[in-house]
Amino acid sequence: MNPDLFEGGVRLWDAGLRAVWQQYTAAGESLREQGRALAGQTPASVIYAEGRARVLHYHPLVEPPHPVPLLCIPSMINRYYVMDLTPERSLVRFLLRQGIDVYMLDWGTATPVDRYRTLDEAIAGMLRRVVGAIRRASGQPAVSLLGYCMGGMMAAVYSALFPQDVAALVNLAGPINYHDDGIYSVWTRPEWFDADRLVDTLGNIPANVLNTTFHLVRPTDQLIQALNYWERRDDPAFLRTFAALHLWLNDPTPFPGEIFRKYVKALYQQNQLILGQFRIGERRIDLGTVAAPALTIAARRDHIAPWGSVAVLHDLIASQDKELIVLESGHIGMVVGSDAHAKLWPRLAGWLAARSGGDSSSPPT
Amino acid sequence: MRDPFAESLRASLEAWERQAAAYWDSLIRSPDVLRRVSRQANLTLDTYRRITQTLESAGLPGPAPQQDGARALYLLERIAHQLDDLAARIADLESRLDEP
Repeated sequence: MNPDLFEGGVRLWDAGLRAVWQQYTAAGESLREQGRALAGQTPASVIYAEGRARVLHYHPLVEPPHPVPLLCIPSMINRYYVMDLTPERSLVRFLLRQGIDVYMLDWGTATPVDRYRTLDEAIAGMLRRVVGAIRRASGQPAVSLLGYCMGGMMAAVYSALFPQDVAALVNLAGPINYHDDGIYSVWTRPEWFDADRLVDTLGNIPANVLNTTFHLVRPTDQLIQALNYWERRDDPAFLRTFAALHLWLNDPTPFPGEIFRKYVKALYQQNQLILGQFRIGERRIDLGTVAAPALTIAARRDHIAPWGSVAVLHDLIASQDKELIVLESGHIGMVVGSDAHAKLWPRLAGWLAARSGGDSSSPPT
Repeated sequence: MRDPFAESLRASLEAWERQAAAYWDSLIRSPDVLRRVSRQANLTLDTYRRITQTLESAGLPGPAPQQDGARALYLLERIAHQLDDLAARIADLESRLDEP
């Protein structure tokens, strides 16, 4: 290691960073407690449950909402409430205010039973039953899908499998091309990553292993977070968002073993989706058959799903009505950042409203 | 009012963090480093598996004995969900047939 870099770190530590870090770590449990009181608080009813998963239907804030319902599909390994972080920083609440009828898939916490659940069953089985439940609850023949991160990939695959179910598709930072320069693409290369050995030994990938992995991508970012906290620890508005995000960042759920195996081997290692070789059950997934209206949203500073690996969906699909948005933010900032709130959410809500039936020119009254 | 100490600390920390992150990023992408980490991780996993097998063969509680039960539970859950779904679809069809 460069000795100047090491000595620079020691100097910063002695110059005050130590006190900042100590205050930040001492506040950890209190922050998470505050976060728990704020995150995922938008009123909702559970309309469907399956295993550890459940589907929330948020109570409309505009009556009647647009007819076509929206299903939000988060990643399986991070909590759904990133899209409903705090009352004032909630994508869900924003969409409700624009008259969108919002449903959320909460994957829940994987248990040893879920170790055997497959990606094929999750998409062609469970997700199909979830969409069926929403169709019955709403009385609509098709549902719009908004997938975030891994959920974006699942929404795109679902749209290819069951086009009649999908009114519109939004891919929010869901990777499609897995052979990119992203760190997870590098880490999971078959030369050094043995997914079989990991799953055969551990079953589900434990949440603490995932959490350590996330933090290892840029561990020094924790120091910046500590300073952000220390500088604004007396600012209640800042603390609310900070506490909820702090909770979310430290609250992953185990990755079901068989789903992890296929996700890594078929997608990260063999890049089957972009090559047209990816299969769900007996069916080969051809994203070129997706014809639903589609919005693809990528972020230039996304380290988890590099923007090019997300944006490629826009070129692959056959939709006549399609749009690509590339933001100047990161993977999480694009969902919860103040810039997203000011710029992305209104565009997203407008795009959805125009494709959700009813009066698309303004929120229903 | 701005705190000069905090401003100075932020400027220094941000500059240092950018350098440290760039160094770290090159390290965690290095094939040599990744191969070494992989070897260590595989050794750890193999050791874990041997301990589990030893516990199991000695009749002591370990994670492995629960696996068969978990798999059976998973399959039962899956069948139950498929049946529920089928029932909902049939109810849906019946209500459509009842429509004038």
